[in-house]
Amino acid sequence: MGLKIKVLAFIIGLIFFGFVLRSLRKNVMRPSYAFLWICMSLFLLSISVLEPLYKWISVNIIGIVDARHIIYIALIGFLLVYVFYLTGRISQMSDQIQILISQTSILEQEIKDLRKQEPAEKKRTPETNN
Amino acid sequence: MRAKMKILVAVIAFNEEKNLPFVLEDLQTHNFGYDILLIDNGSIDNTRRVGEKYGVKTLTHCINSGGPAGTVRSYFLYAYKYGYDIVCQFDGDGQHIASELPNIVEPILKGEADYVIGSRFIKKEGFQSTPIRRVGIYLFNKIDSYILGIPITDITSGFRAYGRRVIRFFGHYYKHEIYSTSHLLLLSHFAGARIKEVPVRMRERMYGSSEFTPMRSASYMIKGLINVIGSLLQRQQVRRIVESYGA
Repeated sequence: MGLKIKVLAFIIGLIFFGFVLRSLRKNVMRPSYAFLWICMSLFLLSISVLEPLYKWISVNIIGIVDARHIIYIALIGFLLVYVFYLTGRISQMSDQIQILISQTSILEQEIKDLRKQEPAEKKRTPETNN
Repeated sequence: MRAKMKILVAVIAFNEEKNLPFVLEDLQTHNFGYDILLIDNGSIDNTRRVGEKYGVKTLTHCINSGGPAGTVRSYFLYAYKYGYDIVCQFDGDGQHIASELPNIVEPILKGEADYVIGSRFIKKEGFQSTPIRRVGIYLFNKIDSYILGIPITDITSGFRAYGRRVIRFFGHYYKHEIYSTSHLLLLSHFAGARIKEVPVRMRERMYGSSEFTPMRSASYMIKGLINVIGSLLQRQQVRRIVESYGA
């Protein structure tokens, strides 16, 4: 792997890592969502340092001759995992939204009932005082 | 004992301002002492106002919560909160007949069932649904009958009654989305509810068209099959809830 690519991966990884930390600090992203992105940026940063290790894994363990391919495989794998995770979260949120819609409609009806009772009670109060 | 039973009729409606006056008049004329609750699933017409005009309590969804299954959650939550013993689902499109309500309530009152389906295909009287829809209904009847171990003839019927066991389970313990009538039925069965079907008559809707277009019916069948698989996979989770909390 050329020096230029290593430097580029390191810089992109660093910027990425900075963005994730900034998002966490400003409460733009929740830690549970940020976890995978932190892993992603650490992986980008590690490419420049641990390149011989990745090369060894790709050639000797996975059997990929061109070591660059392991980066693509890792990135696609990461995206698949993240999309799967997000699909799960969307499903959970659908459940929560459905419950909220129902609860809101019940509360709205209860408020209406209370408002109907209010004028009757207001009328009753002066009579009771007299 | 029967006089003490609190029974709720939940009328579910989405853009049914034209059918609803007829439905509510029918329910108020054939009054069996049941409370009426209108659930407006995010209508953009005057559905809500019609309910108010007839003096019916109305739960208004601020947005459409996804088909009739989305309204199920609301009446279970409401029924559980206000201590109802029986809830009947009644469609706001005018297909259901108020005088048939005692038929679906009776098996629960007698303690014979916790989940009663009003089937239009037992006696084959009244409106029998469109041919394309009947194919889907037949397929899911067979699948669900096999899983439940009892014959089901009208799986998609919206004319249903639930007893306390089902109300408690869905109104308090089960916090996930209910996808379809088949999902609701299978989960109720896994939660220990006794299922029964009784014959009822139905009418054709008066105004408007059903949301089940041929395309939607096809998509409904595919989704329905995935829902059945999902329901089977949730069997252990449901049983765990029942065992842990006595739901």
